[in-house]
Amino acid sequence: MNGLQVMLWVSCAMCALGVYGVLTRRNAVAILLSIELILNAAGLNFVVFGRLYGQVQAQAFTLFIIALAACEVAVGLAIILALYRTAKTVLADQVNLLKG
Amino acid sequence: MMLGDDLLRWAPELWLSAGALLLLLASVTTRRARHVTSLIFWATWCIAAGSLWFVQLLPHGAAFSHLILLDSLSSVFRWLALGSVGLVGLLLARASDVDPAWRGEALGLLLMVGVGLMLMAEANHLLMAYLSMELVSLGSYCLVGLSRDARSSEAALKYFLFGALVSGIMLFGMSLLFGATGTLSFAEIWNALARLNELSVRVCVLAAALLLAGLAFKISMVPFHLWTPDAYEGAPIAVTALLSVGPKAAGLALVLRVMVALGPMWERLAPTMVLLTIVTMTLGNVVAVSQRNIKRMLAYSTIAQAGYLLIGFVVNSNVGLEALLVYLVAYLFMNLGAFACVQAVCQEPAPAGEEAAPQAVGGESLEAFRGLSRRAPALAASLAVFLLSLAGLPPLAGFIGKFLLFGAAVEAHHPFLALAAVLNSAVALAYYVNIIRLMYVAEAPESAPMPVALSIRAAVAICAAATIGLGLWPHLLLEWLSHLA
Repeated sequence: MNGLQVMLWVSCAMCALGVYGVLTRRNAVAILLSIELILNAAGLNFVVFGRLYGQVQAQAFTLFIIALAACEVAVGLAIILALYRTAKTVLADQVNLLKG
Repeated sequence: MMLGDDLLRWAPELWLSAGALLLLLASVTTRRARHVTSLIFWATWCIAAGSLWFVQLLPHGAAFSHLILLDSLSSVFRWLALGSVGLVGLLLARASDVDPAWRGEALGLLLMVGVGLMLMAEANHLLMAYLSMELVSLGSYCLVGLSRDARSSEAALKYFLFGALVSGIMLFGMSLLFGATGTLSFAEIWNALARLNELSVRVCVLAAALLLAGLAFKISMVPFHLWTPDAYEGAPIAVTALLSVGPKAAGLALVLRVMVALGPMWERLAPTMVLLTIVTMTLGNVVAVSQRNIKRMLAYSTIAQAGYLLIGFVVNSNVGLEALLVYLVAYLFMNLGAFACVQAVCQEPAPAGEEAAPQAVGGESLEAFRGLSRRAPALAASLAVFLLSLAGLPPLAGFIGKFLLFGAAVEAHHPFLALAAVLNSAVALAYYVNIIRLMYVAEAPESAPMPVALSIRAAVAICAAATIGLGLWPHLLLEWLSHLA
């Protein structure tokens, strides 16, 4: 197995792990962490393929992903904090005012 | 290409961004001065509208080293984005479910979302597609969680978790697409896809499916619609109005752009897309019938409307594209108008001297519309116009749009699609007419005339005039669209 294949397997595993985490975790912060894993899997892919094709644009894409992931965490944690103030919980399955 | 030229052609977005940043700063420093924030908002909006009018006269084409594409299609969607931002700004001005101290931030975020919506329609590169979608998403997450009650926070959390997951998956799809084609630009992706071997094509189909999943989330297409009812119900009404129009229109624009890039694979994706279109409109309409909360009902109604809009896309023809644009313009006015009426009814200010009504579910139930025609005749008549237009009855704008869309489906040899759409329109009539029945036939619980704020009156009047006007003189809109093309 060459380096490219190894890295692809790693990124696919990270993505799958992230999706698994989102589906099984109850804590909103843990779900957020799992989503970060998916973003990083995509970032890793861009770096690997960018090196393969010799494209700097793809590496720049990864930098954007890192920056936007930070923004997403900021917004996400703010929302979780606001929820904790009103509902006193961060467990995603315990907030169920909206249904029907 | 000169950078100065590009910046000039991109001036509306620059003005909006500058205004948004100024608003966010101003609302932090001058919390009390509400007039300052609305002044900045409307000044920014007017300047952006003026410069958008001006940049139409400049030559079309790619800008910023082919990162974005400023053509006639993006021109239409820029007007749609600006229009929805303006009308939602009118609604936000008197929204009682948004803390007045945060109104400045809300308006600033609204302008930022507006920039994102415009960028989505202009994206010509995977990076721009991702950035613009995140700009819209992050702004909308904040706006949904803006009011300080448990339902708003819950809606924001659900919207955020679902949206972040889908955008992560979409990003993974983009990385696979880049891996298979070796380029990020839409035009070059088309070239690369046209000469791929069988294995790479399979990877590309997977990548395209993941990419479309992210876009389907934005236009709340089945099976990525799950967030829609909860987010719409919990969010402040003005924000719900924005979500129901802005991101849908921009999402469709981006789907059109992405599909240009994925053109060589259209044959493989088309059957699934047609099926999902039918499922989207059917599910939205069937579930909407049994809803008792007006925001939730309109949420399912917008899912159904997204299904109609998707017809214009899946037929993959110029007629379909034109029908899609016509229906989007009509949809902007009729849906925002309906939400403006809902805001007027659900946030009726308590009479002086009485305790303000608590933010209960009752305020948003369909019962609130009982006997509205006797309490606020003009409002009831306008809401009736919007609902009948959403149902697609002549001579309103919605009818013209639906007529063109269904015609495009028949012309593209999709008889089942057209049949499903017609049957769905009949189902939809049931729940739209139910509200009109409540307004005109049912007895009012009280008889005092309902006060309606001036800004909401203005929004309703603009939307009603456009809904009726576009229905009576559709050639004006068609001429404008063909003039742009």
